[in-house]
Amino acid sequence: MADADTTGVTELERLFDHVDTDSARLQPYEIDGHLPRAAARVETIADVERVQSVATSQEFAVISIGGRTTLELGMPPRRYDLALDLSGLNQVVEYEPNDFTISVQAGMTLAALQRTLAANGQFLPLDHPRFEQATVGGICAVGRGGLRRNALGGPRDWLIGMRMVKADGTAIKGGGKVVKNVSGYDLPKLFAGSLGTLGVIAEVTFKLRPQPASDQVVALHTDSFTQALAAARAAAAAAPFLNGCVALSGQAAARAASQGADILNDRPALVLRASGLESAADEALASALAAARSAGLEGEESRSPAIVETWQAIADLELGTPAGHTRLRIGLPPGNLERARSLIAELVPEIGSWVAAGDSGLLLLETPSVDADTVRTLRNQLGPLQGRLTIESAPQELKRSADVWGPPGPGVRLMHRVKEQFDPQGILNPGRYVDGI
Amino acid sequence: MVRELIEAIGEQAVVWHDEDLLVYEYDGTIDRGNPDVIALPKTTDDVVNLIRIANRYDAPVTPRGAGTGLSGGALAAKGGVIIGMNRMSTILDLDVENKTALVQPGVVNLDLGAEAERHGLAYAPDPSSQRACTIGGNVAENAGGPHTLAWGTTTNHVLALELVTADGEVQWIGHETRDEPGYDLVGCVVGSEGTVGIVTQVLVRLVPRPTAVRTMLAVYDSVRQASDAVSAVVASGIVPAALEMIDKMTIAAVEPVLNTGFPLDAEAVLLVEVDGPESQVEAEGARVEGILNRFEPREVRSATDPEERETLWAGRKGAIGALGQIMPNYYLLDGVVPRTTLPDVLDGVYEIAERYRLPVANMFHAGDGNLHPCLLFDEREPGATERVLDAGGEIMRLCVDAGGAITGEHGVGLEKRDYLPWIFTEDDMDTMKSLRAAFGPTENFNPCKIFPKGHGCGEAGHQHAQHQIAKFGPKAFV
Amino acid sequence: MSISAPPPTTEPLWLTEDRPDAGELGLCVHCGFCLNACPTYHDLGVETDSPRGRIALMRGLDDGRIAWSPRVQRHFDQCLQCRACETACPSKVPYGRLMEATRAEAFAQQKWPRRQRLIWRLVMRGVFPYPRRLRLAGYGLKLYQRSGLQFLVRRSGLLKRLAPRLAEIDALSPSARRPFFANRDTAREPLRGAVRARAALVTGCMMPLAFPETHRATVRVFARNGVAVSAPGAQVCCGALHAHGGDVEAARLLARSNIDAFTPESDDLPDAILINAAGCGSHLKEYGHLLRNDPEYAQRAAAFAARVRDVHEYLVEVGFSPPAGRIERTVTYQDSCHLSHAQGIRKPPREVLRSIPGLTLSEMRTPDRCCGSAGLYSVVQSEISQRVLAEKMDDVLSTSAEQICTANPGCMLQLDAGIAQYDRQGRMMPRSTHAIELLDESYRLGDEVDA
Repeated sequence: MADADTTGVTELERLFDHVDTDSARLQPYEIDGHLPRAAARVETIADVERVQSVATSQEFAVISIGGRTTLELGMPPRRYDLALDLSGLNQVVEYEPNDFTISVQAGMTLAALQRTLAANGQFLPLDHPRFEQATVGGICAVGRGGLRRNALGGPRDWLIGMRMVKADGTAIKGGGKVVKNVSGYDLPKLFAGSLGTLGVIAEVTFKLRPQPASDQVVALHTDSFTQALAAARAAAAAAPFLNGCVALSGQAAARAASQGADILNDRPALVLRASGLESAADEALASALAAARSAGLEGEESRSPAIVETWQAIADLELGTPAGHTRLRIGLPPGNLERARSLIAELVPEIGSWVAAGDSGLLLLETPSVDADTVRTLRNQLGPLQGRLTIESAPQELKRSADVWGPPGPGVRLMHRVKEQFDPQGILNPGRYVDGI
Repeated sequence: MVRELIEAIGEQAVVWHDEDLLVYEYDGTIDRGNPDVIALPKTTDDVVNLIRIANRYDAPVTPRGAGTGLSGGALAAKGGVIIGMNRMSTILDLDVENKTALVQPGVVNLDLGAEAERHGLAYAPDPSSQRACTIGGNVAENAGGPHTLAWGTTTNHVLALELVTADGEVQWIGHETRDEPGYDLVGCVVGSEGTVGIVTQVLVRLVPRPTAVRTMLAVYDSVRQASDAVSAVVASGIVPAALEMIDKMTIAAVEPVLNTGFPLDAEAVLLVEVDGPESQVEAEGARVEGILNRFEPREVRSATDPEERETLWAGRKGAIGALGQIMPNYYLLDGVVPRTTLPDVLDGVYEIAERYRLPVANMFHAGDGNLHPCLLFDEREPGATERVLDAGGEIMRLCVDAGGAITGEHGVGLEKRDYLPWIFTEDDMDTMKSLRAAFGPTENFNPCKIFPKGHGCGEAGHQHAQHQIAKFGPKAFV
Repeated sequence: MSISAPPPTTEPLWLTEDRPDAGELGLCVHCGFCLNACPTYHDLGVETDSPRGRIALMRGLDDGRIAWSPRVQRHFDQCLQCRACETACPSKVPYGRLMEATRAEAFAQQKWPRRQRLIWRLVMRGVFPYPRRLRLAGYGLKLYQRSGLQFLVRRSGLLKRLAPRLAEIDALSPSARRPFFANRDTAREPLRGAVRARAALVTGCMMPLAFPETHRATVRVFARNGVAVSAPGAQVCCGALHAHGGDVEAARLLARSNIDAFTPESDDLPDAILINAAGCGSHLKEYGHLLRNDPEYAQRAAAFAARVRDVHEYLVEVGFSPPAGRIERTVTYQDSCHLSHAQGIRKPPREVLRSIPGLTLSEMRTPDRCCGSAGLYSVVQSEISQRVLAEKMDDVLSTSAEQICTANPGCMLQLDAGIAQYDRQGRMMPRSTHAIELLDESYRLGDEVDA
């Protein structure tokens, strides 16, 4: 096998200029302590096809990598031969502003994409932590909505077409470049959120939205996260069209403040965002604020002059957990947020940072003190609340002893069968996704 | 087999006499299929039993909702069992706080909408057949509707499903807040046109009802002006709740029966709706009106009360059925094109219709670039059906060449499966088939749909498409 | 896959000229919009019992693709003829006409069981066309009810055990209310102010016996608004029940008698031919169609039909003075099918109700869904009728109404039976009413206050 591996790497080197085998230069591709044997930096879809066909013939385990912002997600890889670096595949393929659609290569960063769109007064309604590095391919592969998912949905909701390369190197596509399309199965949806285990996302087409005329971010400070959360629920109920409704604990707020959120300090806070036409945003914000105040939040409200930076600092709280800490992500119906919070607070002694989306039931928390047993208990108790807990970032020991994804849901049998169809050799990101997929 | 089906789900739930088969041979299209028996389950267990029995007899299974589909999806193309889901029609739960509803697949779209409305919520997808079509059918076809411009289609509103797969197993997939880790199987099942299993429960997302709504009617003396106005509205950055175009031929059909107030001598009217909070509706409405006025309309007016709005929408949603007034048959297409190409594509559609000497009516979701040219004909006239299919093929080709797709919301079904190679390669289609295979032994599950060819599916349509493909070349956007 | 239906056979199927019109059948594009509007599809859940399905059956018969078996006939019989499908139909398929035509053929071809045909002849041809026989039957009914016999029979449950079907019919039987309305009564009501219009009232077969008050209220209300109402003495039953059942021969006979009674061959036609029963109204408006091939009557029938006005429709057309008497009551309005679906009259009754001070209208979710009465349907198809009624009462009881208001005697009887059966808390008034009666009551209460 070792011989075969060497042959494979040699073959790759023959095919590309951009194949690294030098261990120092492989460091950036480290995942949970594992280094690949080689990294291939591709620049065209044809490159990806060639890499995959070599990988298939050599049975190389391949992990697609974009901006390296979410490598901590998932179980440690079962095998890891080749890092497929897509960050060089980063061109705009087609952009007709008046169609409100854009096709870009997977390695383009979200920030670069948004800049291209902003020049035409448009944007892709997704926010993602570390958007300067995060690539659209990576964002789609992770495939989930963030703190503003109630207003924006997730990548699946904006994707209208995709080109992918299958494990064996066959280039395929799904969807198209029109905003409404039911021709054939919806492969883009299947690939969104597949964490690189079904194929390599090479190009994506999004539908776009015009930038709102008005965009406002306001914070209200308070004494406890519990209070901030209650206010967030009240605000969300009063103003269903908010474009962000986040409760932060003191520590979370302080970290965001240090990253440029000018309206936050070290006090727990409720942050509201409203966008749209001037009057509509004002109206939504006014009713949300009134509801928050009647839920007990007092004091001055602070309005951010630097909305993009402020919000990005908040979105960045989804990543960047300090070493030694564990970050848990819990998704549940928003109506169950407060019960979930008190249940967790009882079971986990030391919670550093809390972040919650009051309008969509997303709860992120960081703690230095959680073990596999506690995680299991939490999962059991969150079950009846329709809560799903994933460990997003954790010390190696915890990752190994507790399944980061949790016990597989009822659909897992089908998922294995899908995986089997798309990657029969099991060479794509092996072992890192749900139930060992 | 019939005896076994009866034993499994009861005599009242299985029909198979000549007259029963006759009324289940069609849907809303011109295609037909001849089932051998129709089974009408009431529970998920019934569905499981039916599928197992059908599998034992190697009988094709075709799921059916209200049979309002527009691509032949509910037709028993290869005979076998039609499983009619209309008796599973209960709204099981409506969670106002978390804005979700759990429904059985036979619940009628508008009934769910009405129930949601009582709680200040709405179910966004609103296909024109919403008075009758079922949520299960909507899920199968990933149904759209005028108001999906702002809100997205069915796939954006389905959170989780109970699915009976082709091997007769029951699976829950998805999660109320989409937080179940793993593949987006719900995204795969929605729009799979009943080819991977039968949906027996659906958890849908509800949205807040807008507090205000303004519906505008703009009347133009040329289709070009109207479609330019559409492009301008889209480019302006406003996302209307709906943006619909209705042309002269459609008006001629609709107006006498529905009295919607569309002027009979106008070449095209636009129906534009903005909704949301009061102030937004006011501001957006004024801006849209300004844009509409730039293209020299004969008139722009707003509905002043809910009833007038209802009437305007009745004119749009009843348009297709009303065409029966002009000619006994119609062939309804569902092309979708990039929005900037709309004016040119529309010109092309009229040109093709004229060349084939066929009246054509257009009423469609202009804001999405989703065209619904409707070719009118009389099947009793010799050669008319063939002419219509030829013209239809050419129009579909026009859409594909403009960078579009062959169906925006009706589904590929039986009708358009031979055109799928116009937009997908063999590799693309093989990949899709491999996804289908993951759901079990699906070959007998709604056979002859979506994918071209297929054993025993009849070759008439296929040959026809081959003829088209020979004429226009096999590949466009591939 | 086949693109179109197999070619038709040549066997002649239809025997009369009343057959369903092929062109009208061709209007159906099987879009399916009608399904959810159809109470029987709702209840039975099979497309053979949907409007689209029944049209396909008619076409199937026409094409010779299916035989006219008793099973097929059952699907036709199970149709309520509520015509809700016509409201839903974007192609405006005249379903009601097609169903009547099919039933006419069925009647002519004797598709019914013998016993049913016999009873029809006895009752529908033997009693209904003759006002005096009807009146006699009315006295009989009154006697049965007044003597306490009905009470005893119902109390004992004897009928239920012996003949459950008859028991249901008994529950639905109108309570005969004396004094019966006589056509000459119309002359007694003094007019207020100048005569603005002259109208002739169709008093019908059942109404004078079971709902004489509705007629009296009608006469008073119009008199107050300057419309002189008369009721031609020679009139007979309108024949709607006969037409719905397929007995067109009897229907035509009755239509001709009425045309003679209301529009004797002179130019002196009334301004309106008034009717306060929705089922009759929609049929009267069809006289032109019914007699279209009658050389002697075709023209007169069309002229007659053109003058027919439902009372609500006419009130709004001529304008009525606002009533002053307060009626502190919440009512819900049941759109009688033959008023809403067949005649498209939905707003005028509500306008009348809203004009009454103190009255609140609490709408049902589906006020225009059939109550299951459907003329003789409640008797002939009592099982389906009962289930349709149960659903209707569910809707009624989910409103805050204390009384049901509707526009047709059949609906009133059916709904009264529904209240007796389902309103367990006794929240509702046991008798449903007609908007014209409420308006009349309000006028009279206003007068009392003035006095």
